[in-house]
Amino acid sequence: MTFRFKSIHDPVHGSIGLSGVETGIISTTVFQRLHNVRQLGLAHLVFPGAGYSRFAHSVGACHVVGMMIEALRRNTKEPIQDEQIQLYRLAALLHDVGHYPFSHALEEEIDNHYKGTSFLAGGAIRNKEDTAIDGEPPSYNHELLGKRIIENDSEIATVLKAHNVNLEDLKAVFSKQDPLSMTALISSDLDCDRLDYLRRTAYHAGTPYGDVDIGYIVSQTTLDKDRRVCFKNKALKAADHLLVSRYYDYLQLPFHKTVVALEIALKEVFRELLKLGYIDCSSDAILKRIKESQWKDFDDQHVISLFRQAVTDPKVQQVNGLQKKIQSILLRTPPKLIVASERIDDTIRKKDHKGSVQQLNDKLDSWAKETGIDRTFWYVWQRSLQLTKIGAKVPFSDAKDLGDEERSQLVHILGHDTQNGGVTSTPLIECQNTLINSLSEKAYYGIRLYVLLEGSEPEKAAKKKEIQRIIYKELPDFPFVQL
Amino acid sequence: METRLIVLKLFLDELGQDSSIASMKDRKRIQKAMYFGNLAVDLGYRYSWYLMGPYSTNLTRDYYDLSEALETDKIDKSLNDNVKAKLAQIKPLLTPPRGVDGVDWLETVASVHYLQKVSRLSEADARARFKQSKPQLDQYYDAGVQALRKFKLI
Repeated sequence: MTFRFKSIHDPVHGSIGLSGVETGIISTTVFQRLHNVRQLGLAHLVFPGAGYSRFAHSVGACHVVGMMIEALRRNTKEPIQDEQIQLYRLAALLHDVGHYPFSHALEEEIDNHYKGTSFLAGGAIRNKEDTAIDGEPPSYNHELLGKRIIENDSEIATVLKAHNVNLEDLKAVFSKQDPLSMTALISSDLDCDRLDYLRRTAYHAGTPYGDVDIGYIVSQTTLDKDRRVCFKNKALKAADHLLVSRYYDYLQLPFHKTVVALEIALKEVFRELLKLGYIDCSSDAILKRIKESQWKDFDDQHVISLFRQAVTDPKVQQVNGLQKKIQSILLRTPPKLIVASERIDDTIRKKDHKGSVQQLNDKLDSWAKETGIDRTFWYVWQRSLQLTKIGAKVPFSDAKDLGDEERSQLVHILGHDTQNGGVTSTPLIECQNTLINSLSEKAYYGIRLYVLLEGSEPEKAAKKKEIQRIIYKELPDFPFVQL
Repeated sequence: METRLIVLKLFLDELGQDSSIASMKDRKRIQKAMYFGNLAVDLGYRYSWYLMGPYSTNLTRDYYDLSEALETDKIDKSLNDNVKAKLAQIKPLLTPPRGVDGVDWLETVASVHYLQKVSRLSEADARARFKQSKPQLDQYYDAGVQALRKFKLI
């Protein structure tokens, strides 16, 4: 089997080789759709180069996982067959095929909307006898949706069949259902997804924080005595650097003040349009799109076109403020940052952070009244971010009490102990000579107040100053930062 | 609080499960109890196989978010009657037989179910895989199979 049947030139990795089946998958319409789904949502409106697509990222992830397995094979002498490598490369290639337009922002709104209407009192009763094995939830997350696309898309089925790739084998790797598989390659703190994403984002956004030595890290991929994917000790510094870089990437890009403002507006508008029934993203509707070959049309531009239609729709005009919120996305005039608190503190101070968030939220009604700006245009954004989080959420402060499942997400470094018939690995975060070990008790705490303001820029600036004056007077001891 | 977290909290309440995630045992209890809650009413969580049996990374994300949200937010909503009725049907399965630790029981029944219905192993292969990966729970295997059959889940 050759993984150089065709090649694609990529600014991040150089020449990327592809096998015959990968070339076929890339040509399917559901994969071509990824050209029109941006990896970073609306971030390109702030970082103009950051408009790269999930297509480029998916091809990059396929390349990275291939390099990881090659390194693993070289470093361990494991007899990994090309057919098995092919399954992992395909799983990486297809890992984002189920992403909605604008990715996570819309997925969260869809999840919240359909769980509310399907399961809470007062919503529509869902009488279907669905089970989690054969049935469907009210809406899909991107992973389950990806699985449904792989199962139901006729073009993908044809390509897999032509190249003798078993669909069930691919699904087992894609869904991480095989207990014997090396799932850390496609789902862990240092998987092919993150390894591609960080470099690619740094390259396109022009922010150097994610420019880490990925080639070296990948070349050190190996297995410990329990067959856990890990990295040789020589990669410790580079892996430590990568996790620190990930932290700065978050602060610089997803947490950028205007990127956050645009995402707030996007989510709010989409939430309202779901409520109005302006768009149907239920699992039934999405599955229909897949089966009728219409999923390919459901991309970022489709949603923007929908917003353009909605802005003049009488139904939309009846919802307080919605038209202005849609315009704020279309015209790139998002809510303005009024005040902010950003600090790095001990993780045990999290309650203080929550208290500060509550303090701001409690004041919104009165500030809206005092300034005459509709309450619907006020937003409090808050995030806490641990340098040492595992995956998306799990904090590491309770490290000693992590289950094997949770630990499996951590970056592991191969140790030197050769007793007991093999070499064990240790989570990077437990290595005393790493930065993330010494920072494991610290977290970033951010709180921001945004308000969607109207009028000319000088008028907005004057309103912003007026609001700031009121807030600083009412909350003199609040830990605001200078903007 | 986000609706997905409200729904998760109400599901746990309905299944008689505390939402505390302070210890690994608590988190394992929630993972396995929600495995059956999700079987009764599909919330969209999907499980992978790990040493301790079926485990959902999306559920992990949600119960950490829930734990944080519960520090400040209150819930004034309830599940609809249809959902409540389905969860009430599955709830007795979560009660362990006398003398069996509650979390051990949940791990047993969830693992047996996963191996037979999701991994689609034959009865003999599922038994062998279970014994190999969970020798400490093997004594409960037969009781687990019996209970799952009673609830028509295998």
